[in-house]
Amino acid sequence: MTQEDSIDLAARLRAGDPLAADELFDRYLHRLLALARNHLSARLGRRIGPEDVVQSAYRSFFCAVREQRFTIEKSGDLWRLLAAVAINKLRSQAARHSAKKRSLVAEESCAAASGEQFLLAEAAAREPTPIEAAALTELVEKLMAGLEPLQQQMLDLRLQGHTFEEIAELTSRSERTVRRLMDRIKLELEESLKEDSAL
Amino acid sequence: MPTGAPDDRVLPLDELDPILERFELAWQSAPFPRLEDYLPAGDSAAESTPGREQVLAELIKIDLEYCWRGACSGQSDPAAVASAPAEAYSRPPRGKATLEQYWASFPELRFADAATAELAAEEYRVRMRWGDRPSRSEYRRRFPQLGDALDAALQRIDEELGEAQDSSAAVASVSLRRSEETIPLPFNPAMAVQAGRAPVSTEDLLFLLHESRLVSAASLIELRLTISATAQPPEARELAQDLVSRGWLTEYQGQELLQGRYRGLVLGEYAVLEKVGQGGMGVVFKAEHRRMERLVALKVLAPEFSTNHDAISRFHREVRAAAKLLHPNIVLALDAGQDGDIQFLAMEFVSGIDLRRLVQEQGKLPVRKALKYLLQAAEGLDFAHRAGIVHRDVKPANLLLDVHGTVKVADMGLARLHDELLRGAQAAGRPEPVAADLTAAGSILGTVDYMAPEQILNPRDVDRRADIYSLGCTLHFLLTGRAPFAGGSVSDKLLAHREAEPPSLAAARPDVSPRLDAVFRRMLQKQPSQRPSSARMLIEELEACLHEADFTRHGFSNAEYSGEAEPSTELPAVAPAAVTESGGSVADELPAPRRLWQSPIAWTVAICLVLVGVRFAKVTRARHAADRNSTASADKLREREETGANRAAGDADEQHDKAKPFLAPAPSNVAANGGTAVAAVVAEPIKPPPVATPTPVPPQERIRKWAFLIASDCREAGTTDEPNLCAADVRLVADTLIDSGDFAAQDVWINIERADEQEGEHGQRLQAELARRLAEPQAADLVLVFFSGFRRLDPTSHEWQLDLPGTSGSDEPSATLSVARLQELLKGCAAAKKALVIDVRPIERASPPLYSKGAEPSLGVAFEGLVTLLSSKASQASMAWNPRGHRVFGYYLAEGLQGAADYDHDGTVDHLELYRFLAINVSTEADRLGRRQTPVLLDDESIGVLPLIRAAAPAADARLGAAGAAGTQNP
Repeated sequence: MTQEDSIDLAARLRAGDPLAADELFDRYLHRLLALARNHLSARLGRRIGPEDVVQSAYRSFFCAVREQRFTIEKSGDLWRLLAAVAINKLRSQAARHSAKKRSLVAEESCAAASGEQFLLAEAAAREPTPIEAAALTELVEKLMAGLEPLQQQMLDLRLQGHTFEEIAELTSRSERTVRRLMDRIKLELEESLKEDSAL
Repeated sequence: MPTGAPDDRVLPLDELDPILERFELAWQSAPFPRLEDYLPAGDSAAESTPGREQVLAELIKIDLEYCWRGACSGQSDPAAVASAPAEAYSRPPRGKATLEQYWASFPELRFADAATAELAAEEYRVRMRWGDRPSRSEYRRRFPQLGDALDAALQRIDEELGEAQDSSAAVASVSLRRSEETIPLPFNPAMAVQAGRAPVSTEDLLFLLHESRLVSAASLIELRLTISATAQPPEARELAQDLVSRGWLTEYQGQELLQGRYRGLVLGEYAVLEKVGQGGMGVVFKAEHRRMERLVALKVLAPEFSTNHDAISRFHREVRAAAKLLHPNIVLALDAGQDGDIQFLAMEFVSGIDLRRLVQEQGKLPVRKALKYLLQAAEGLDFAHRAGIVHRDVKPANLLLDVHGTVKVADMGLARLHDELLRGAQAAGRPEPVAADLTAAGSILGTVDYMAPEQILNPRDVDRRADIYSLGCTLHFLLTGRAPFAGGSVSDKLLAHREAEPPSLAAARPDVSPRLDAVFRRMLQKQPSQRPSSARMLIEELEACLHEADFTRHGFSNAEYSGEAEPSTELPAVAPAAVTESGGSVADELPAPRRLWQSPIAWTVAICLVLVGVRFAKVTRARHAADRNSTASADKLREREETGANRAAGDADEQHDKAKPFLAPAPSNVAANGGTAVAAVVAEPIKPPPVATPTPVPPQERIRKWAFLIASDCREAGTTDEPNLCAADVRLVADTLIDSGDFAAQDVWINIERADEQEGEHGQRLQAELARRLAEPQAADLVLVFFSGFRRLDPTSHEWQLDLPGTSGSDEPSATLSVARLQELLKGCAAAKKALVIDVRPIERASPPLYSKGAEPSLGVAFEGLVTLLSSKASQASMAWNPRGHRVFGYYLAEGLQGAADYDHDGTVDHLELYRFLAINVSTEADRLGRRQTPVLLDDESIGVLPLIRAAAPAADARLGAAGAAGTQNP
């Protein structure tokens, strides 16, 4: 994405074009995931290290990112949510430690737009940072840690872009069960987004 | 229509999930399980039990899906008609179920409108998806009370399903086009070659391609149009070669097609890519899931087994059991399927080599490497054993080494199956096909080398100890290149397994220690009861051998590490001469250390990462849920931990020579911080394997580093058979440092307190030793000091005091060490970079001392974790202790040092990055008791606390100088 594109998109966003918001965030997300992959490659690629369940569960996802086998589009909503939550957490963390920043940025943004809109505007201005990538991977890690192995597998597949149907088939469970888990995860993330935005 | 007051009492997920899981599994094993069997018991029809509605709603949703999917594939009762009135339904609902059937079955349950709407929407979804595609008006009619909300829900489902439709539109459009007559057929039926005969013309090959299902019809049509446009159509062979070179076909597929074979090139969802081996049950292929593009190993059952229906259903059962074994050291069974009468099993594809071939190609393994492979295999087996699965065919060929150095146990749970299939085939009285005969004989010949004596007598009835025997034989093979009783006829071998004394490993390999030889011989005991009773026990024994190997190898005599030597001979009160000798000899071997950053930096501050004790924090819901399912989850945690530790025990043999910098020299920007105090832990993350040819570091660039790792004995007096978790912490970090290849093993000192030491001995000894080492004029360029498990005295005072124990029976600590004193010592050290990391637990003022020998119960709350840890010993058999609960700090410290903390990807880890990494990981990881720990970063002036989040400014003053910011410790 060239600088002009970004500026143009940002302008369209300010003008209230919802498509611009999506486009902007998707681009940002793509770059963020690429970064997250780099961040993780150090951990995943380690010759020595904890082969814990969580890691192996989503290792395959990041392999998929590396080999560009996955598509964001299919499960874009989940990734978007994850990214939004991760970034929002960082932001609210930073805000807690900087009263100044809070008064300058947070209020203005809260007045201006909902959580994601704010993120988009912010993301438009710059590249994703390694810290954000780290926060994203940590969020995925934490999310995974709260799940049973089979559920981890389901989430892993979903993050790789598989459909509910495919996941149900691969895990030998009903689509309903897959959908129920994904609904639950989405709900949790949305709540967490709301909480952080409220700070 | 049941309606009424909403019952908003909900069941926690950790109760709901297992119910639904059981229900699904029940559906899969036998259709139409009774819903009421899965509902929480209700006292009477009138009284509703908490969560009953909720569970029922979820059960119905799942049931609907299974019913309609089943109905659509014709396994249900076709008589059931969706639109029939409710009274006509019998329970349980069968086939094309609708909500009214469920209402009829459970009249006592009342659903709120919202729940009813959800259920109706779910029914609509499954009927749209698998059923009769009902109209929305039907739902308006059936659920008038739900109104527009339901309509909106149905609309949403239509949209969702529409999207899913779109994504498979490409496929759909192909099949639509095929039905139109104007589109050419992918091959010319008139010219089609007879199956089984080698194709000659292009048309022949196109036909075979079509039949094989390897290439989509659309692509074939395209191909055919392209070919027919050329002046002279190529011959089958040319076309096949062309397709192979274009990547449409693999070599194997091309060859098969050219020989007229097309069946079996696509099995179910899998495209067979190449043949990788021949096993007892059939051929193994590398294959790819066509939609997921996931590579798998496909085990195809020899056709003669495929008609034995009992065997097939057992096959599926076993596969189901094996598929639940999700463990890094087990080859995962993914899928069992059938294509025509061909049965197959899809497994995780492991790219690598099996240990039999490894030894055949590369010769006997070094002891350390063999031990580590065996440990990983034992981890996998331990996991399977605890799930109730015995492998029964452990042998080098079944242990796969992947490209990351992970060993995975293959064919878990399939050995029994193989026997039964063979028996089934024989019992059926059919003439044994030659091929099966050969493979069967071959596999028995291959296996008998590793077979436990009791397995020879009664193959059906063996337990996990048979696996341990086989693993022992495998160890022998890895170290000597031959199985223990190799040579001679099959009956000779069988006899030897039953009668002959196990050979001595040490005799064949002089570098095998007596300890390892003893473990080996115990594994090969004729009586199962005399072997290590579980893989877990075996792992502990092998680990001890491994540690011993480390130290023997490096000429180290730290007996505590190996846990063997007599207390009295252990580290006698630090005779300076002896120490100089060990330090000096090392220095002689190494080139003279060059101090890269020695002089301009007046003095270097130590980083103090102090882990302040044990807080009781609220755990997350999910975590909590896991905790309550205690043993299983504890085991799981342990599982991870053990594997981690295993892995972390790394391969110093290989790594050391590479001299890859681990804690690398400081980049210029750090040094450029001028005269200010900077202490940075600088690390280069380890690159992912496979590693290229090692580039030796030129001697003048080599930085000498050493580490001093100290553990207290956190066990209660007299419980020395408990694991010392602090020691485990320290070992983990030591392994990490050594394995990084940058810390010479001689330069990693470990000092572990023993429970039986005299008063104050340990504390005094280590103070003296630490002081001496830090004061060495030839000190290293980089120094890491790590304390694990010491108590922090008096958390209310500003001075940090470590209690160096050895104060048995007394309330007065006889040896304390303040952090200020530690810093004094570090100041005096000539090294340019120093890191101090402390893992402590705080002492509550009122609580009795940790080492009290009195009755246990009245220990203060700060020790609750420890007490529980120790008292869980009663149920030792299940190994319920959770090392990570304690080792979490050391674990993440090791991780961070390995490069995981390199947030900004500059190839180094500075202390702020390390701190951030620890702060995030350590403080979010609660152990199973719900405790969390909060690392804090101390500055050097007052040992005050720096805030959690700081600007990552590289300037030195932003790091340690800004003591003004102290005191805002983030909770």
